[in-house]
Amino acid sequence: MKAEKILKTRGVVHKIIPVPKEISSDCGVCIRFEKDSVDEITSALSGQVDVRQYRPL
Amino acid sequence: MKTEIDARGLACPEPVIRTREQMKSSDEIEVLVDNKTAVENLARLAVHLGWSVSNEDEKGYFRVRMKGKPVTVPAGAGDAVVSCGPGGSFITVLSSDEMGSGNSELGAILMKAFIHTLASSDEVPSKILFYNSGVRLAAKGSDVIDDLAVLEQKGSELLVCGTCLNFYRLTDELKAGKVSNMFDILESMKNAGNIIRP
Repeated sequence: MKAEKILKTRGVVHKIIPVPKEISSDCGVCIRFEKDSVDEITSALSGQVDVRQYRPL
Repeated sequence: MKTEIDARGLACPEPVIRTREQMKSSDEIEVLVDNKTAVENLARLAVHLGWSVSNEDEKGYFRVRMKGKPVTVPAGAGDAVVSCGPGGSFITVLSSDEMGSGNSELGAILMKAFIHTLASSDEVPSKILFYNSGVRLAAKGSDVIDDLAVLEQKGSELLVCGTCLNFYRLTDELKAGKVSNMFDILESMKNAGNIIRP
């Protein structure tokens, strides 16, 4: 939720989706974004949010 | 020996009962039925009894082809694979922009994940009803407009409560679906086989 707020404030295009079943069968949510935004997002969230992992889809 | 059963016009579960009976003495059966529910029930029956199954959409009816070893066990409780419900006909009711009750932020995230999952599934609801704060999901500022567009493309009809749009001052901000009314909402609920309300 914190990550979503940060990205919204910064205007980074992203989407909240359930964690794909092949990654985890938990009832988790994750943030999907374009590959090009990875650096921007990594720096925006570093130190702010505990990121579990970045995974390509 | 191939057997043909004309089960058109028969009420559920009659097509399945006749087919199940024929499966004792045949190894190849073609069943003609006139509705999708019967096709699905026959497919489940076939798979349950280890037969292969395929179906063809003929004009105005379906031809279900089944092949397998004649079934020696008598019909029993294990054959309870028949569903006579309207099958496949379901609607989704979004009466809030949150999923479940409790924490609002969590509810909002869950609702986004729910709608995305709904839009990603093969079988989409025939209708999606939006009312009370649910209308926010279909209006400007919503994060799920793209998912709603996918749902519309896949055949879902999106009905958005006009009174609610007016209340939330979103009448001119509708981004998905069409404005609807209480009469349509009630009729849609009455006619739905199943209602999904996250």
